[in-house]
Amino acid sequence: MTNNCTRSFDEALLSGYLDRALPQVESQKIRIHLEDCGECRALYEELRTLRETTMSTNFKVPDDDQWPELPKTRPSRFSRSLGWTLLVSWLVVISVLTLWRFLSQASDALEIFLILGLPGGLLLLFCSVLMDRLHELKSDRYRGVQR
Amino acid sequence: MILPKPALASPVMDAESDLVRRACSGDLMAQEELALRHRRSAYLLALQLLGNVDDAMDVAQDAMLRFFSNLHRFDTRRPVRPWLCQIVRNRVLDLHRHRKIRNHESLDARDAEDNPRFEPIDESIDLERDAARAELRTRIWRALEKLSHNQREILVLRDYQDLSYAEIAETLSIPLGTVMSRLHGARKSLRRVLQEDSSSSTRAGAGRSGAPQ
Repeated sequence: MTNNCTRSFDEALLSGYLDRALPQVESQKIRIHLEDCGECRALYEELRTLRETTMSTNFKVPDDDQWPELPKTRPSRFSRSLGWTLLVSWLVVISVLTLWRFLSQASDALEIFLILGLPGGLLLLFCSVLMDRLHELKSDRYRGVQR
Repeated sequence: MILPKPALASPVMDAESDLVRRACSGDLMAQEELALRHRRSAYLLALQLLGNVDDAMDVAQDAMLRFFSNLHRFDTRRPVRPWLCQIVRNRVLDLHRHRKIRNHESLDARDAEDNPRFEPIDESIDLERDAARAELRTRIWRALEKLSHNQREILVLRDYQDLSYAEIAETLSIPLGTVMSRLHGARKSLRRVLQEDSSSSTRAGAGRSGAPQ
């Protein structure tokens, strides 16, 4: 504002007036000043146009199917992870026990190959995927974001 | 000057508190409704703060995940929206910080190289007035990138998200009185950037018209 303006209030109140965030007394004071002061009125009108234009901006939002499954709440996540842990532990113990039993009874190399072939192959494939995932994790651009 | 105190309780807020309470107790319908009600707003805020569609989706998804993980800690007497805005804002700040540390460059610089900036939908009709307004909308959107993070943030919260001063104060954790002065400063900066932008385009236009063919 130049020297022609005789306002006796903080200029920021113009924004408060624009946003209808002022008490009635303050609001009335600004309204009366705007009637008299061309410079403040010009600034106010400019800010009003900017605000109205900004508010009328449209943004495209993603469709519902682009959103992932609803995030789980703490109790359901806890029971789910506990369930998975129990299931995986059970599978590991059962597999190791079965393998040990078969191996202790196996008499020749062919029998050992037949016993170890399938689980060994699956284990190697799993390790390969795991190594790829670990490598991917190291180069993940969001790795450092605080979780 | 004393700003009017915001009303904390309202019928809308009571219904929302009830929804949050039901979601916390494991009601799947309430969780679904909360997600539907707020994820759009989380995405839009992230988009308006970041200007990039992919980053906005990542931030919004992460924010919704945190929103539900921490729902049991939420004070149901308070409105949900400022709390969600705060979560989105923190994710955005984390992203900025992370990229600055990793790449020694600003997010905007990275975006300029790798991703085209998002532009708002232009649904202008043929009328001259609408066309002028659509152009101003685009200019405002671009001018926001030239403002400081604090200025952009407060303008987005007020003028795009239409949050009240009390909600902005809660989201940014600043006193209510600071909201108005910061917002006014941001609006004046936006106006200045737009004016500079206009005068530089005018100069460029004049230069082009006078240039030899």
